Amino acid sequence: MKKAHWFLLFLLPPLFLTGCWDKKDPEDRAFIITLGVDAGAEGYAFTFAPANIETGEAETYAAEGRTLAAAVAQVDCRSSRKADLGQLKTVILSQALLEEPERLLALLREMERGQEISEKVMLLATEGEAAACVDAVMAEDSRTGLFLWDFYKNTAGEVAVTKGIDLDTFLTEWTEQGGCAILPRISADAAGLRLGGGMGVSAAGAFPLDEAAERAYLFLRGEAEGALLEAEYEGETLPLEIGRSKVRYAFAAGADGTVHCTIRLPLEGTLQGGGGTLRSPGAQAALTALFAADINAQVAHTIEQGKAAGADFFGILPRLYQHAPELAAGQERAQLWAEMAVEVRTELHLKDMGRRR
Amino acid sequence: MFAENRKISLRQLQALLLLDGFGTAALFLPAELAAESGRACWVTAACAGAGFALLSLLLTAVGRRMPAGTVVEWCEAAFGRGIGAVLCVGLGLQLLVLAAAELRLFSEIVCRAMLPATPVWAIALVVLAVAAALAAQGTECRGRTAEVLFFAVVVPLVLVLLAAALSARYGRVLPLALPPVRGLMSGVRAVSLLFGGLLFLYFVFPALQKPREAPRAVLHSSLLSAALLTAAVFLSLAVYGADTLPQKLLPTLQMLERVSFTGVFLTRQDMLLLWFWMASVSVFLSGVLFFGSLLGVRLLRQKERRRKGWLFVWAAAVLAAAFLPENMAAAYRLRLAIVPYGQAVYLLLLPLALLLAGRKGGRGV
Repeated sequence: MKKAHWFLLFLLPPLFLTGCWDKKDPEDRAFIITLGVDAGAEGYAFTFAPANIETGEAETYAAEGRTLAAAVAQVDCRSSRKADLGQLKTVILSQALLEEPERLLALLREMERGQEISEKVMLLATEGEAAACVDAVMAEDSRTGLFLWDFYKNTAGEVAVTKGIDLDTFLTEWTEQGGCAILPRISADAAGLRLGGGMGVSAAGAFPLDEAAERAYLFLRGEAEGALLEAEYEGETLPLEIGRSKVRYAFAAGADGTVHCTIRLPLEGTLQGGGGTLRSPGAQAALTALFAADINAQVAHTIEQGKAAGADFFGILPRLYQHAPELAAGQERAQLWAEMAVEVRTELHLKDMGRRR
Repeated sequence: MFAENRKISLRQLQALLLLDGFGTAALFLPAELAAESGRACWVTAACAGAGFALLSLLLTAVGRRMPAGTVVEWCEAAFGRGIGAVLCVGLGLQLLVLAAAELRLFSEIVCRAMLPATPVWAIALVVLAVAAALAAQGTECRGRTAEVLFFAVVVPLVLVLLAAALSARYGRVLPLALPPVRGLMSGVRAVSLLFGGLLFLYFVFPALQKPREAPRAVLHSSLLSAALLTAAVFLSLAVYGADTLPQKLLPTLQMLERVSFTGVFLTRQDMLLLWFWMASVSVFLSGVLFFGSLLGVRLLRQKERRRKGWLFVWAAAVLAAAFLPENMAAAYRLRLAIVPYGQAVYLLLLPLALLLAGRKGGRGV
């Protein structure tokens, strides 16, 4: 009897752990997978896209509100199912919203504080309307709505044209980089969705980065594995695929009191085309110099774009503060960035011999 | 089943102490330390952790001198019955505050993150019931449970920490810095909350199989706790940086959410990982209930069979005290305001006084 008593005492508590007060069957919930956010007249215009595993029919809910919580409450008033953000995977933000960093941050902070939303939710930017992108996502995969999630899981890391970023990482980088960061870009047109490029966001607003600039940004992070470059050599167009990408930063004081930053890019790549003969040392050196010069130029051009925008989107200044804080002492962030001399040195190693397999 | 053998091995004691160190305070610790020490928060964690690990030597030295007794016998022998009783009641209050705050904070975390519509008292009641059931079975049951949970909790947690270490940006730890004195002092206060389990050493010696070897085992366990906590703080800093870290609610848990496990389709990974804390909080609470009831029996010189009655008294007291603070923030502040002073008294001053009294007067200890 005594054993039965203890047995019951151990068995009963788990019954309370089935979510009694919070019990709601999955079919009674609308699991929002994708959320589009445009700038509204007085706040935000949200487009909620739930998964619809049973019928697979594309379904979206639109709601305007000053906060996400208010918009969710509106959706709940119009739907038979309770909107559930616990499975939210992707948030698409329109450029119009990104042009207003204060409003953007208010939204992101609300999402960060909310217990329901995972901090791993992925953020994307679009030049057009976020609602149009959400519709295009649902056209690709209305059943689960996981098209974008799957793209970043399966493909993004191997093509180096875009880099996924989650809410937590974005806000960390935003703080660390003095109020600027880069979001991956998505666009929807008649041909469907396209992922590639980025969107620099800062207090001054948002400006799009093309795929070459996004690739240069990935070189600056040492995450450009899969990047594909092309160069003309002896009448042939040769593609080079980057297989290994690293980055090293070194800072020194310049003669005029400014900070000199040397960025070394140790890279390994494989040529994907060519004649099929064993390359001579001269040809090897010429090809290496050709691609290295191209990468140097692309990266330097992208840094200049950042300087023109007045924002260190690439996280170079935080590295200066970490590795050589004495060089930055007493100087304003904006002045440091504007006056910093940057030199890019690509150290490319071609892995292949030139022969075909 | 366990009543016939009331002894626990040193390995079981180590597992218990290790689990006791991973309470809710470990979840808040990196943010708490970063708020005052900035980038040097991990140095503060290492220094304070090592300091508390060394403090365990004082208590184990007392226990080694009089392994058959508990705090009640030690204090009575050293200071007489009156003062001894006051000191024991004080220790009981310290345990009560620790347990009540732990119960309230953990229940609030579960409620806010997983079961928002469920009343906090319901969650607290369930956790307390599990802890009480464990405590009712005695020390040996707790020891065995901790031994099993060590492999289910600490080992996976270390593996997840290693996985988090792979994706961290260690540049955020640079430039290396030493904590300011104020940061160090505040860090000692925050870290003291994690070593509440050391207070159980006041009771555990009669239940140890090899009490003479306890000092070394306890020191190793405490140093391992300190190392794990330092690693958690260091990784949190490398993941969030010194600017973002102080703003995080539960950085230890949130940092682990960044780890992506292949093939796992789980959005709120942090909630799954909260399981580690469910186990450690239950084990800690069971320790407070068990040793609290033992304190009552020994203090009033009652028969051993009255211990279970005390268990109910302690469970009711912990539950009631847990709901005295108005909300989660109040419970957090209250614990931080009271417990460090109690820890200073019971981990430093009292063991020193017991050792000195034993040496000078030759009384008991």
